[in-house]
Amino acid sequence: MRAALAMFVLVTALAIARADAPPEADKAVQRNFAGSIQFDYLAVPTERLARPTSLDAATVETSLKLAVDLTDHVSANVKMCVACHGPELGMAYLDLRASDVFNVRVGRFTPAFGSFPQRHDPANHRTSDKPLPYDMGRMLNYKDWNEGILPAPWVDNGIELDGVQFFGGNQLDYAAYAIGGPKGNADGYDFDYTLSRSGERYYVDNNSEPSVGARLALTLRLDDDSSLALGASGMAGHYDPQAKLAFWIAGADAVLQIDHVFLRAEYLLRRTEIALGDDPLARFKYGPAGGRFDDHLLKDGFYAELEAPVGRVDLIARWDGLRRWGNVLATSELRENSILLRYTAAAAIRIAAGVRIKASVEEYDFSDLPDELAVHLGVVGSF
Amino acid sequence: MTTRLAACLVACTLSACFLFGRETGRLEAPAGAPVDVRLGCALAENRCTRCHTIDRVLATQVDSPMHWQAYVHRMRLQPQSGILPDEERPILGCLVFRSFGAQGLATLGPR
Repeated sequence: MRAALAMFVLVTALAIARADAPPEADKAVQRNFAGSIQFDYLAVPTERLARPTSLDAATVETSLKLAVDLTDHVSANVKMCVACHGPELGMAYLDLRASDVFNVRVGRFTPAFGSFPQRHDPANHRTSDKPLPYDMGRMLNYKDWNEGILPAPWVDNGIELDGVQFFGGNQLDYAAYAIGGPKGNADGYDFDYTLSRSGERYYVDNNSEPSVGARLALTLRLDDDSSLALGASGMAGHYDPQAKLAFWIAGADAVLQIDHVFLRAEYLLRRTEIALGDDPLARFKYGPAGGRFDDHLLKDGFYAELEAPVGRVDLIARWDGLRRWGNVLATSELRENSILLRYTAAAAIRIAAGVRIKASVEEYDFSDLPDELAVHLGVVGSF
Repeated sequence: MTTRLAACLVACTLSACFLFGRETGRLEAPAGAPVDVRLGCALAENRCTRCHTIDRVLATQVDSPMHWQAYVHRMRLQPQSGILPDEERPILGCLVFRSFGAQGLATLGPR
């Protein structure tokens, strides 16, 4: 399997190298720098001290990206990010493009999954935080819920084949990839996201077996200013060091653009096998059903979001949620079936070139925990 | 507490609206630009904002028309860009005209 993959990469790289004409004398290597800084203050007025359950108060997310077009067929991207968990490489990859329909991406990148990850940079989306399925620690009670379904940006080492095919006024995108994949412990109960950003555990695959995934997206032109994009994504693999605990994630997304108004919706579903351990009665909150313990959990999430510009102000209304089915640890506040719904009203106000104020109010409706109110106020700049 | 926070939030956002200059945040064609360039700018604004704000485009530093060409081409090939092959040139025309004027546009050659 691995030998076949390596051979495929080699043949592809050679094909692209052959296709690449020598650079013209007047064509220099093109470099672009870009970056963003977001300062956000999260207040939780319904809690006297919110820190035990959330990353409240001030946070800063910043990124600096370098994109280099080495030739017509080869480009490189490197992006450095600093946020709550310190400096990370958000991108470090090469694109080897034989044609529009065939590109090979190798390195460290965000694999094609869903629609939101493409806009994950705080300067590219209008709310201070991310939709719940893609939450990376900014939701309230993030520890109880273990964040979203697939935190964005998911950054991993691997290889991706992707391409774009246009027909008429429409566009078809595909991607297939093999990456290190999410990680967990041998006694896994869910993904442990800290292992994916741990230098002590190395930034490598934890079980000698890649996780694989694919995405297909169709963008239909409705008229000159309107379009409808539909996508489906999937990812599967094992997340524990022994490669025994399997997971799969499926997603569907739709984006309707009418002039400058966007209606976006996504749904993600993850099935994760869990290790029962030697003494599941002591480990889990719920006993066996029908004589046996469930060996998996299901978690799904969705969001629907309307974004409409009014002059310098972008108004956003969002409804998102998470659900979780399956046994929970004995110490967990959650139940066997837990639901979270969140309602967000937000505004992003352009106050200067590249600078916006972001403000939002979020109401959290937890099935098992006290309901909460969250208020975000921040400034984001892109350059 | 909640009321005070909400009041503070509203005050800050309203202040921001009036304290700063009236930035349009639009990808406008310069005065006197040909019709093709104007249409290209409208097209660019519609397509580019699918994935990011138009500020990304306004802030981009390029040093030649060829630089824009490589940039726009790379963006067209982004998933769900919605930029058709025959839309690459009008968008490029807008961006090159904004950065380098009619002289820069001429270096791109005929369509």
